[in-house]
Amino acid sequence: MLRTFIQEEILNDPNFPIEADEDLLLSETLNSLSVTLLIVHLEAACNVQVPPEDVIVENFGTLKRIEHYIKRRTGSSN
Amino acid sequence: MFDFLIHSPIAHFAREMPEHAALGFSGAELSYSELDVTSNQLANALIALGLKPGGRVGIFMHKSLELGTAIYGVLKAGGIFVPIDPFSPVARLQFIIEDCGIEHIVSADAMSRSLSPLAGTFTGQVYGVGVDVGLNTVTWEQVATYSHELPDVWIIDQDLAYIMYTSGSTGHPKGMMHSHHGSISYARWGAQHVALTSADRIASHAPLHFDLSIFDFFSTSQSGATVVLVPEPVTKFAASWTRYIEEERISVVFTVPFTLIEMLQRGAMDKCDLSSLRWVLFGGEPIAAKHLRALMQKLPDVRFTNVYGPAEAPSCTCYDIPPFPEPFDEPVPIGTTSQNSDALIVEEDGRECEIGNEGELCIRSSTLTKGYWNRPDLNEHAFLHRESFGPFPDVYYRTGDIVLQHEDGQLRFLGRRDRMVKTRGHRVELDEVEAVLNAYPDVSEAATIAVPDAHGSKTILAAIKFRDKANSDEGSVLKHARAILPSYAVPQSLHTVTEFPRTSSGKIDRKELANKIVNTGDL
Repeated sequence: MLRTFIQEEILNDPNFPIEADEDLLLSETLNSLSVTLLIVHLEAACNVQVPPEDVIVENFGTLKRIEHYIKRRTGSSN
Repeated sequence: MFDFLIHSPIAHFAREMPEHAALGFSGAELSYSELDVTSNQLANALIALGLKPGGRVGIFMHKSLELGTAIYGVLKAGGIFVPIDPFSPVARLQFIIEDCGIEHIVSADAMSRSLSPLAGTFTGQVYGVGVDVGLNTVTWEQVATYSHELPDVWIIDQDLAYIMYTSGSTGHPKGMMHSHHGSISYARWGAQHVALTSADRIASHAPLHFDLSIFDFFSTSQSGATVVLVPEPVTKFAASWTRYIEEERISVVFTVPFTLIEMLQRGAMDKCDLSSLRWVLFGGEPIAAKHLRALMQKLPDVRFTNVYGPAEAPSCTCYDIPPFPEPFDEPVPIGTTSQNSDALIVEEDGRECEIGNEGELCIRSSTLTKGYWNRPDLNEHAFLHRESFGPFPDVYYRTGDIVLQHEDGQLRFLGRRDRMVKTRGHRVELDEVEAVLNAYPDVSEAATIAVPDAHGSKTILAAIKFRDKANSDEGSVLKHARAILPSYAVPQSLHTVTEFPRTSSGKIDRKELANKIVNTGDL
């Protein structure tokens, strides 16, 4: 779902290859504009609040990290 | 103490304090003696493989410790370094290589996806690459086999040190030529203004192809200080960036207003110990006074300086923000001319302006570019020549910026000459409209654009990013604008955005914004 959102809504290219461990910022799959869009989307779609201090490379640098982060947030009370 | 070349301090500090860190990057460091050796080896490799004094060498890599080796290696070989945006599309990379006659590129394995398409067209050498990209590559291990002595190359401070490409209005980038002399002037201005010492750790937040990086690298090396490179992913996340300041004990930052606003709004500054920070310089575009005030309140012990200067004449004016500014919403002044710079403000017909009248700022400075590479057309129009004594006229760069000089000598930036539009017969400064929108408390950032209308005139549109969704009433913003601006300058419509498209240097990409509004009718 996350990969599809990035491919379709951010990149406008449903077939754009994105590896789970790829650095999304260095590969320019995401930039500061699309990080904001992604977070707005995740907050609405997953019903989580992402505090500013959590928007860091360790949580949002790759697809895998974003998935882990969201799983952690939805698993915890928020 | 030093010679006249911008790279001379490296050998000096390698002798004086060999173990002191010249570069830092995500916890790793390269000492002055290590940098001296690696850059000498690269310089010798470049010369052995055909680089002549004045030869252009592309630097095409992300931030890493090797970036320092690349810059100083090229300079020590007598070459001219040409920073190329590592995110450049292949066509732009190819254009710069061809336009600048580049036969040597220092790069990295991570750039292989961008380098491979050059196979078949680029026949020169690529350094720092160990993977097969179909090009003539030289690995760092091979570079390390060359002599670690400084090569004997005869260049003087009038020779070029770097060529920096920036977007050109024709759609092709244009390369600004800067000499060793100009680079040293810029570097020494920075080192003196901020009183850098070897204890300082200066963040290199801007990409190398953006002229703020010249301060980062060269003001630092003039002082024997440490330049701490900020990884690109960290620059994209405000909270990672503030944490990086803490972890790397950054003391000085020179960046664009966008970075500071992001720090303020999303940087979770309260959760970090930013006590190492002592000076923040910013430039590139105006900052809204309310953001600056809020930042100064959060960082009461930090000094702030607004630095003005196009890449053609870096740091030609600056304004040290007073320690406790009164609440004000006027645009932040760009200050007075820096030492060794001279301002001339001219009317449209070229006559000098009276104090109190607005006009185009023209700059004569020791940091001035030597012109645009390979572009006699631009060189003819970008400079203003005024008769001096003898056969050599004074040369001023026409900045294209409209300024106003007050009685106290302070200059205020009013807008770009090319951002002045006629709408229904009235002259409007788009930047002035933007400043009014930016002053509204609920507005985080605003951008104005002018698009052609059906009557052959221009319509003013604005895009706004609100501080938070709960207070995002476009009607109130328009009411505020109507209360201040003449009716013809009030935007016809407002478009709310979640975030602005940005250029690689963090400025709002107004061209892209206009495309989006015009093509989609909305954002």
